[in-house]
Amino acid sequence: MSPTAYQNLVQRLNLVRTKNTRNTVLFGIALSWAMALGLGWLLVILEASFYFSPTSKILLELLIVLGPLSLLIRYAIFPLLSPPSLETLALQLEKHFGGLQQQLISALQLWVEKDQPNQSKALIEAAIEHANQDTSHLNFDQIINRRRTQKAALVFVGIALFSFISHATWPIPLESATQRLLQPLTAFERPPDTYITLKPGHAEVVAGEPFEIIANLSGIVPRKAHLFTRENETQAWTPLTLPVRQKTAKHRFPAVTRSFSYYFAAHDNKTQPYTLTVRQRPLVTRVIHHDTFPPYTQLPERQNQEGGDIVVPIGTSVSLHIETNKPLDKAWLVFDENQHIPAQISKNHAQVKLNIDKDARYTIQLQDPHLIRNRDPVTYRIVALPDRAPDVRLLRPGNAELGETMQITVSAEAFDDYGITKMDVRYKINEQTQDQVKSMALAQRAKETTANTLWNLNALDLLPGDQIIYRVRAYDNNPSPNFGESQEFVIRFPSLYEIHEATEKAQTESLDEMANVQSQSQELTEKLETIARELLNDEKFDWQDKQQLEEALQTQENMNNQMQETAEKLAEALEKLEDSGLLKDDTLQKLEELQELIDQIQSPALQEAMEKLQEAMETTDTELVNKALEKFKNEREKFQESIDRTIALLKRVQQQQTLDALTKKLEALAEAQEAITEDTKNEISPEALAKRQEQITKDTEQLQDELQSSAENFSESAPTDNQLEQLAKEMEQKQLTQRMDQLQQNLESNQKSSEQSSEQSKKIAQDLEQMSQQMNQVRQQFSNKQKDDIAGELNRALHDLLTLSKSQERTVQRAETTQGREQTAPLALEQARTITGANRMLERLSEASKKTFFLPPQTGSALGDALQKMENAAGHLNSGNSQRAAQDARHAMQSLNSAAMMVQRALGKVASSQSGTGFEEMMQQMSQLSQQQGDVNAQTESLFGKPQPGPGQPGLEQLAAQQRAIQQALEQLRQELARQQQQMLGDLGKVASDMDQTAKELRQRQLTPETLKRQQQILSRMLDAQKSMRQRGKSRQREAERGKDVAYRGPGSLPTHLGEGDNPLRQYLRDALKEGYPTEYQSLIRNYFESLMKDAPTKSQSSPSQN
Amino acid sequence: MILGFADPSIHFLYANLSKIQTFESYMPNRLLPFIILLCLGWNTHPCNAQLREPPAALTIARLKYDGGGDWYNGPTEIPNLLEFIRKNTSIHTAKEEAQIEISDDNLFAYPILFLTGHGNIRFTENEVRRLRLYLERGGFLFANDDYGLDQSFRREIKRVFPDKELVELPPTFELFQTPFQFPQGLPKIHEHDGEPPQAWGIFHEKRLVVFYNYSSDIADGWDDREVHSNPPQKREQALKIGTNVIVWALTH
Repeated sequence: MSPTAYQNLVQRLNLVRTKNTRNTVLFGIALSWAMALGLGWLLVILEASFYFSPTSKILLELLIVLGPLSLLIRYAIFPLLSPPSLETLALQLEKHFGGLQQQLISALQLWVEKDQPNQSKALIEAAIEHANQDTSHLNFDQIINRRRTQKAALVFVGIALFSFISHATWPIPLESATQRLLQPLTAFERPPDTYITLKPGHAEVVAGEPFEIIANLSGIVPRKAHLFTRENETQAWTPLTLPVRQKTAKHRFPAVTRSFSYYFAAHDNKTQPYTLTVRQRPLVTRVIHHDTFPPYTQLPERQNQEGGDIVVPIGTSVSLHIETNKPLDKAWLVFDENQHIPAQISKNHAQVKLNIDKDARYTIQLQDPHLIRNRDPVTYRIVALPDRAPDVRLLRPGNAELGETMQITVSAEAFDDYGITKMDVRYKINEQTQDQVKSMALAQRAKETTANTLWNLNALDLLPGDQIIYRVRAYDNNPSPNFGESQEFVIRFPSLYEIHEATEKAQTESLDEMANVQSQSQELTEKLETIARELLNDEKFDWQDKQQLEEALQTQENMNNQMQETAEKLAEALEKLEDSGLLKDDTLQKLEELQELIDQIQSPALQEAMEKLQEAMETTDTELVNKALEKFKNEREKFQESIDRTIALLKRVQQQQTLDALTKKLEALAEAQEAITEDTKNEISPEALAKRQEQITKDTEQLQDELQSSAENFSESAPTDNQLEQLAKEMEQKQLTQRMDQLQQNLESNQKSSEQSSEQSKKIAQDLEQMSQQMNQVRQQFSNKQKDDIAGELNRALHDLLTLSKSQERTVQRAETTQGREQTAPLALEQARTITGANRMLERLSEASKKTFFLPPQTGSALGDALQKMENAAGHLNSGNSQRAAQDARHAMQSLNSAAMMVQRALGKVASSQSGTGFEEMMQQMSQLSQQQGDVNAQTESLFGKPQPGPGQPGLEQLAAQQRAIQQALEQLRQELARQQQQMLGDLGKVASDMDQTAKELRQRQLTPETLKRQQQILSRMLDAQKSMRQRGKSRQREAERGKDVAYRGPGSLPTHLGEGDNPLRQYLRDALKEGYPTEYQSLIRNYFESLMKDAPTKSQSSPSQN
Repeated sequence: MILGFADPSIHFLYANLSKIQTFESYMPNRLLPFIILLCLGWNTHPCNAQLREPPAALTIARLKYDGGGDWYNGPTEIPNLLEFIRKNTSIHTAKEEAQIEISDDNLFAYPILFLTGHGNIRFTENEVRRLRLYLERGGFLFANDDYGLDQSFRREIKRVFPDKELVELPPTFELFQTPFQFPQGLPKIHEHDGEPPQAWGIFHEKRLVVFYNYSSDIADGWDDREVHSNPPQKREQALKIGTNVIVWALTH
């Protein structure tokens, strides 16, 4: 019998039994777990609600344990331990499938009985085989009740899900209940109705950060909750009531600065206390920096500068010290370019060293050991101040013309941010491209300084017409010095011809203008006469009269202004002439006196008369007006006479001036020719000599023309005219210009040897020299003749005056001894004759005054007075009043004597004027002394700061000796000037004492900055004095010093003057006049500002006061 | 500083008023800006009714100077101050600043100049003369030392007014009293060297024509908050004192 079928059948049955058992166990487990979870969670819920006693909890928990356990045993353990037999299984299958007709059970039983004898094996096998075949298509697994197992699992999952949800919904009460159930023997108190969940509990925050406390409420949720805080245990809790929204109460602290404890309370519950710990951010409490400036700034180290802003010169080394509120872990600077520079840390200090080379911005970043960083660090600035180039301003001379001395004072001021070390003059002559340098003596090495130099241009061999374009350069004290320069100016070397032509033109224009004034004045005189006559006829001073007089006054005012302008124009011309050396001393002296005469034309008496007339016109009192008008007319007469006299004198001086100029030009030509003679021996290029010769030739031709025209102009001044004509002819005869042309050609072609050229030039120079001497003689003769003429006239006038005086004396004596009209009548006739003589005398003196400056205007006044008294005396004599006549006659005699004394003094002056004053020699001496002082200054400065040689060696002692020598020479010069009553602007006495002090210091080897400064002041004063001497008191000194700031701090109130100084217009005027404008411009400027200033008081008065 | 006028006709009007001397002879200089202001900013004045266009806006002209200093420093300062003035006074202000050089033809169209910076200032001779003329004819200079300006400013203003001195303004000076009260005088806005703040002025014919604040740097307080991280109180103080200066300049 084959076992295969049976085995197969059994195998299938075993397999399904195994599956079924497993399914049953799973069912049991799922069911028991579901029950355990369900009952357990039910118990938790019940505990949460009813709060069981320990006994109840034990019983209920036992129930919960036993129920699921029994299910587990029943459905899991028992089936596992006692699975169903195959037969049972077969019966279940037959029951499940039906139709099997017990084939399975039969097969199993038959197989057991197959070995019994009465059983047919074949039938048994067949039955088994048949059962196997009939069941082979059946799936025995169908008897397994998986659905039940799945249901149990679903129940478990459902209960678990319910538990989770309910826990999430009521976590606190359920968890609490769970806890209590886990401790069944423990009796718990009933928990509060409200559960509080607080976040974040214990915490740490950074100071300044926000902090939020959130309390989630469950259970019975009240509408309000309470937050309690306190900073330390000694304080009471501070409550804060909070609304509860959506079961949540929260509070936000926007910026926590200090630690505190807190807890929450709601309804019947409260949390435990929690602590909030606040950690402070690191922050900068102080920043200071120490600055070590670069050497060129000469600034001392600057310590403890507060603040992180750094403004220092480029190259400064800065040590930045940072103090913080707490110890640091690290610190660093962050710059604009995201560059980081770490700092050295020491507790709560940090230090950084910086070298400043450019502008920047930076912040200070800090980090403490808790890795907390500072927030919003302040941005500091670094300003690297560049070393600016100096600013230079030329003070004098600006654009100028070179005078005869060929010396010019250059003065400049310079400003730098750290200090000026050197200044010099940079110049080029004409078209030169290369700068030449002339060093200047620095007043002091300072931020603001001035420098002067007396520039002797003799060495430059300038020719007339040459231009020197110059500027002043100043260097600062940077190791790589920066320099700044002033504007460029031009110094021009004018030729004598130009100067003469210009001044002659100015004088001619002045003469024209004066003639114009003269004409106007005559018209005004006639007009005034008419007005005076009308006034005598008018009973009342009316509006028309006033109008006429106002017009007359205005005309006079205009004439005054014109004369003022003319005077200034002449003064400027005079200054040029003085500088040029074109004129001889006596001519210059005359011109200066003429200048004074013009200045006196507008006499104070005339001005006063005009004012009186103006005042009288306001009163409309006819008598007063008549009286004032009479006075005005008298003063006008003098004005008229002064103009007439000035014109006449100027014309006379012009003649002498022309002769002076001719003489000077001839001298200059002779000198120039002599210089060429010398230079032909000195290897100077013939081309250059030819060029110079060409200029001399041109000048000679021009001079020849001038000689000719001068001869014509002097036609009435015999014998000068003849002599001038002869000189012109002689110049032609000597063929000077032709010979000069020849010499020039020889020099250009270089055909002749230098000896021949030299000889040729020498002869020309000799001829020129000879003519120069002749010209000088002509000039001298002319001058002498003028003086003789004047002296003769004055002598005659003196004689006549004395005669008149004697005559008057006799009249006095006879009048005193005479009584009665019959006796006095003859005396009256005699007095009348004397009056006639005095009138002639007056006319003659008036004419003489037009030829000489020495006759003062007071002479005419004295004579006029004498005439008036004589007329009075004559009147008294006619009326027989001999006593009154004698009195007036005596007064007339005294006036005549006074006039005679004036004439006598004038004679003395004429005589003394024949000898020169020596003024020019003193000027030259002063110039040399200034030059020497400049040299001493330069040498002293070069020795400053250097080690000095030992005693007895040249150095400071030598300079001291030089200084002393200059001092002595200056003292002598000062005494001489005092003797001649020369006025100087500079105080030479102070200069001498300064020199003395300087010499002492140099001798004692005490060379200090103060010494150098004093030396500069000495030089400056000497230059000023020199200028003053030249200008003869016409002070046009340029002020070099600027006003200084005056600090003013901590006021309780404003100063009454509000810091306002003089009328600014005056300052403007001063500034404008310093600019070196021509005189006529100065006059215009002065008039302009004066007119403005007239308006100024009105304006200021109308301005309302402050507030 | 401008009264920068959005309305060109008004601009022209002011520029011409400043040049007409005959007008000045009838009207004191100091009243000019006041009258202009009344016409432009304050609706109460009858002459405003004659203007068909909206009132021209006041602005402040930043002074561009030579010498190397950063005249352009703090670009948000003036706009912020103008905004503050607009919100806190009845003055109608522009939103932007103007920028001008002394040599500019339109200089006299701006009644207030603002000068600030850290570095050096240098005026040419022509600028010195023109600035003086401007200030004497009713203009006003508001100078702010942003640190490092003091020396060169004092030097240059001395060139402008060689006959006048900078005088320190006492705390009782009316400028510190209205419209905002500063009983202690100029507030300290920005720390530099630990020195006390100082306000200086130059007067011309009893009128304050230059206001110069030193060691306070009030303009720093006008900048946007993030520029210097100044506390709000400081910024407010700076804007208030700035307003006081502007109002003073316009009404005196």
